[in-house]
Amino acid sequence: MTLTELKIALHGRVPADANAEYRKNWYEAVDRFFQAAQSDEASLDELLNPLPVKARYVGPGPWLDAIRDSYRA
Amino acid sequence: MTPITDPRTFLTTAPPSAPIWTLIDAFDAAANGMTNPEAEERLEKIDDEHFLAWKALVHAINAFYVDDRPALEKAILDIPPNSPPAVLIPLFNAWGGKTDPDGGSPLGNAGRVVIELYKRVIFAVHPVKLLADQAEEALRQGMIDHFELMASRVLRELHELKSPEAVALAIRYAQRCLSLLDETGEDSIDFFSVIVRALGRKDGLIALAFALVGRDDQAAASAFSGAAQAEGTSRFMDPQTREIATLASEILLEDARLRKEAVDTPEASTQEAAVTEAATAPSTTTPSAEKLVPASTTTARLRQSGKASCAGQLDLFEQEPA
Repeated sequence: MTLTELKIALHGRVPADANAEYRKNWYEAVDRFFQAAQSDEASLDELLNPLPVKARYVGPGPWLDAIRDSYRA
Repeated sequence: MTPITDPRTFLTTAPPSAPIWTLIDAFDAAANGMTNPEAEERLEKIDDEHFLAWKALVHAINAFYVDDRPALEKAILDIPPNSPPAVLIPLFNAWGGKTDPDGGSPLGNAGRVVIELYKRVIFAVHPVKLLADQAEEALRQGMIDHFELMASRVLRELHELKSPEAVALAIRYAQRCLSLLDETGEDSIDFFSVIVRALGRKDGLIALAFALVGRDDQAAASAFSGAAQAEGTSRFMDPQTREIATLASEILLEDARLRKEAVDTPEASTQEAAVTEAATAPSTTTPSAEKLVPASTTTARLRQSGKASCAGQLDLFEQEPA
């Protein structure tokens, strides 16, 4: 079974009498679950693309300098 | 009252009990990535309007460095727009990926010094990405111990990131490592144990389950079931995720059973379509002959090797789900 088939099968497990809101929540929950599934074809760059921008510690000086030099009352 | 543009100018004149010292201590800790609970506690008690913009700035810098976007949004709102710390708001917005109403970068309206600061505090390439690149290079060079060490660090760092996508990212990276080890035929390390140490048992089993889907669906079913039933903490599993994992296990087992029945009967070819339909309804996916092939050589080899990346762990959770 492929991941896509498993995902479709899970979508299909929503109760037949479920209302629209329950159905939507179920689909979204299954989609979130499959965000943890990795395609074999994805490159490392594609995989790690969602990484947030990383900040480095530079100490207080540059922050304070930027405020002092940029602020115009 | 004149707004504070640089707290350092008060250092020579402020009495020891002045709140400016609290602000400077908390600011230094935030900008250096250190914790100073005493200063933070004292900072929260400051309600002098003169300091509120700077107090909010300390909160913003703390949130910025730990990638806590909701806390950063709140802190930005607490910085009065005309206060000196407000000159840094474009930097925080740019970091958060926000755009201006005209679609441009918030940094477009920032001062040159603020733009320079942004370039200085932001890594061009995320350190975890560099580490992951090095891990894969080590694997290509056959430096397995090095790969294990660095991949383990990548897993831990991804799993500990605060962004909502990070846990799923860690689980996906674990699958990539299993796949790479599988491709190289490397069987000298028990990588599943590395994953469990980094992600915990529940999240580790989810990674293994996804890695096994399509390769050995019965083992994948056991891993999903094991993840749903495992003890311990998880950043991925909640009650609804547990329900989905349990259902995934049931679907995979049912699909495997139907396929086996289809293969065992003379009318296998005609039943194949019905099998796929039953398993994936309302799927429109076209069935293929390869779906009837049992466990791939991949997992077969994993099973045969007691030291393969995850084979040593398969028996630990290969019980029928309750």
